[in-house]
Amino acid sequence: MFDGTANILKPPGISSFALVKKLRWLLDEKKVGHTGTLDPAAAGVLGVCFGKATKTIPFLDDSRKEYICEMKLGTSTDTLDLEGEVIREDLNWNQLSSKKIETAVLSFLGKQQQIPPMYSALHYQGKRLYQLARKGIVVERESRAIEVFKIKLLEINLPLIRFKAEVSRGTYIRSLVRDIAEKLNTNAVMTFLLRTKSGPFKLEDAVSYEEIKANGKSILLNSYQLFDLARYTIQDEEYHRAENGNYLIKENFVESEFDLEVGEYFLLFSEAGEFIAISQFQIEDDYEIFQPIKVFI
Amino acid sequence: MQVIKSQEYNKFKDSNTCLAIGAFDGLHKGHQLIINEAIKEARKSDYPAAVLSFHPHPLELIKGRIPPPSIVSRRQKISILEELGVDYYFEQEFNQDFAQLRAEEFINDILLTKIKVNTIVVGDDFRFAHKNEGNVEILKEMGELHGYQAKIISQLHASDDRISSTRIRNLLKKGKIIKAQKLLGRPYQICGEVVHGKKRGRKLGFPTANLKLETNYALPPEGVYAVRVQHLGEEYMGAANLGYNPTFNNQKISFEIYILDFEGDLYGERICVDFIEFLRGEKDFANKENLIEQMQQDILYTRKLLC
Repeated sequence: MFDGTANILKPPGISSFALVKKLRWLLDEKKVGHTGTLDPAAAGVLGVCFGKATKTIPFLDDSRKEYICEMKLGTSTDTLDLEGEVIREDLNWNQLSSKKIETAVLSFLGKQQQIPPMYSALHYQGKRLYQLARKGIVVERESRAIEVFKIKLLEINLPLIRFKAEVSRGTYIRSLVRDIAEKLNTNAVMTFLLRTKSGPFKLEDAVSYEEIKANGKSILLNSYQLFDLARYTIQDEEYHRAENGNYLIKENFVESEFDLEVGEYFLLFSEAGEFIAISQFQIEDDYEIFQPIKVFI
Repeated sequence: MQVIKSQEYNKFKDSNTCLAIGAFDGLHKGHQLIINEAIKEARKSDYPAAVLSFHPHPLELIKGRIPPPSIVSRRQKISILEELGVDYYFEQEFNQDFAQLRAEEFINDILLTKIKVNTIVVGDDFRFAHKNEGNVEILKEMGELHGYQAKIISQLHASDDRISSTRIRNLLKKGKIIKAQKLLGRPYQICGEVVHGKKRGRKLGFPTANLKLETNYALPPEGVYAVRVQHLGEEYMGAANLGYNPTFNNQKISFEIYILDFEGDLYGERICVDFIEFLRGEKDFANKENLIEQMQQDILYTRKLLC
């Protein structure tokens, strides 16, 4: 049994689901949920919550993800990565100057519309797009609003290009690769993808399956560790109210000063330092109340 | 044609590859003969035609040795292989690990396992692997053992002269560009990016494109040349001045091209320039008017020559 969160480094070549399954066995915890699937061929951070920590998933920020992507110019496949069949080839990239490439890559900064790849899990008339794609069917997809918050060209080693991008949820890096190539009047496939950030999960803190196996649960995170929220302590007399999810008032707390906006979440602890709940500061009929939202004990 | 770098070899899915191997540093007629043989073999059975060559030049790796000036840049090599009809170009990174590889390891680990060769075509002087221990005999023996075909092409001779990259470099150095063209099977060409120059030509009424060359080219003597300029599939005539200049654009040579009948902005664009004929050597002019007059003559002659 384990209640807590793991920032896992997924290696390439295993599906997110298969890795989570292995971790379930290792930690002997049936209840498990992960945030933001990574393609089997991709590597990088995958946030996985176990036991009661699965309740934190809705509170984990997944609006921003950061990737390092390598793309290869001159070749296009039906899947937009190396898994698929080559459908187009060209050598136009051989005439491109570094300046042109950089300008094209950087032009994708900001809010924009993006057409998702045919090989994606999005639905189309009740079916997944990839189910249609596997039958050789290509349908018109509606573009989706996405945002590229940051984009930086890391290396040009033609026909390979490497860039780093921080993007909104729902952005397909394979589509970005396709669109960069189109801007350069050539084709491209994604040859490597590394997710360096997924909300609060960062590459530098990520641990591998092998590390968990060697070091045990001690290297994993508490349910609340990833939350950058204010922390307040409930008095022992009111512990049961909190445990049962009843609303609390100012006088129930050890602290007397609060620095919270209406609607703001905070972490509720017992006097003994036990994490009780993610709670919210609310105003109801002009009364200030402190409402436990997700109780973890 | 697909370019496959050594780190991507294991993603290569095709098989029965007909492969020409060599440094191919000039892609001259001799090299073309070897590559065309691999292509011919491939077309017979609808197999993929491929070339394996090296980047950077192996001498870059040896301390104290400077590789000879290039006849083709990396990009030109790719374009020429494509034009020849090659399906895959395996660009082997020449690093310490590769230099340490034994002949049998090169054949087993790379040629057989990754590139899945059916046929190998090399020149008769081909040497490879650690301390150049690999030669055509070993290639043939290993072929009998592992079931691939090894084809050895003897040196191509042009009017009793051996075709070699060294010879082409020497011809260029002496300004014999027509003879060099014969051995290359195409005009001698250099490529680069158009950069901002001193704008001297513009002031005289002859705006020129200043080229930042993309490799350390073997260059003919300084002077003015009639050239053809290639840019994105279009071809233009031009008169080019090749000069030596100690402080220009961080390169010792300056290469400026006046492109005939061209209006537009080429800054930041990659262009390639074919040397067609030597017009005259560099001259000092007494005044601006004389220089302009000479340039008008150069252009007139270029027009006559190339039209």
